[in-house]
Amino acid sequence: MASKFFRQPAAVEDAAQEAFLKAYTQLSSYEGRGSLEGWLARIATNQCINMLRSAKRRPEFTVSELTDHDGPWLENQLAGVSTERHQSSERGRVAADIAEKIMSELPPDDRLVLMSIDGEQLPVKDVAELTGWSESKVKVRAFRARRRMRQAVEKLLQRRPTSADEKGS
Amino acid sequence: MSDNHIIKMLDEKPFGALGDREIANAESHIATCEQCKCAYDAARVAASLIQARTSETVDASPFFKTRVMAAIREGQLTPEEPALVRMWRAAGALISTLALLLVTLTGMTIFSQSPDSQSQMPVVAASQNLYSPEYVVLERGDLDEDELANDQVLGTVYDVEDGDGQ
Repeated sequence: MASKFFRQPAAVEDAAQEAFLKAYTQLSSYEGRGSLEGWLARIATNQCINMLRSAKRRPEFTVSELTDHDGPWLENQLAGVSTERHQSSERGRVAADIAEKIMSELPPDDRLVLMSIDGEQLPVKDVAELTGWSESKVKVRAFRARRRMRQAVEKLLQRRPTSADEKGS
Repeated sequence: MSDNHIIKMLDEKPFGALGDREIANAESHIATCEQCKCAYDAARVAASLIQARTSETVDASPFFKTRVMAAIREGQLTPEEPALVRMWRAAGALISTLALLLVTLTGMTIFSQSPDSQSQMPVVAASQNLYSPEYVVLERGDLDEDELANDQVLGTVYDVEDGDGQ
């Protein structure tokens, strides 16, 4: 759960530890109505969102921050090269790097719905249970998050240096 | 079709959840609409990015369980303080400062008012009887002198007045 929100192993472990501690101290409040796993997931989600909210949000990811690997990955994607065929671990890492940079600009709630609904294909109902939000709020959040993510990627694609630019220089 | 933009559809559901028919409609639309083509490409790339990030996992270090157990044990050894004590820890310095300030201001108010009230006393007396012997004596006399001395002076004054009257 924590690895949805954080990429650094230390941050993931900090969040998981805090979630376990909270669960331990609030064990008496668990009424046994839902599954223990769901209850733990909800505590962990709240913990991660709070940690992200208290952390300073990353400024906008700009083209100048693209690494030598990021540009070719985007080119391949635009050319329609299937991700599955070229999903080596290195390419996967490059894509995850770019995704993390873009998602760090987004509000923590947006990241949660994107990772859960678009990434893990969880139903809206499950995300509503996980967060304690209503289903309509989850849908609205997801709509806005998708739009923000799409716009951020669109901006990046429009301003990226193309291979033609590199040859010209 | 070209007026029927697909941007809203792209934001409504995950890109991977679009059906074959929706994809076909979208692709025929983007052939003539540059704005929607940009949005469609971005949505496709964004979906790949999210997928890549989701499939990434972080393995816990071998010491993670020990670390959590140690944190729980530490929490057990440290008894939880009552809410009032925790509140005092958080706001104690501020409350102490405010209390000190209040005491200082109260003290200053009391001590600054005392001499004024004493100095106003003769004025009040004067308004009541401007030429009374008490006013004359108290105004001239030293306040530190004892009561007996004042009485003697007052007695003398009244004696003189009585004598004059005779």
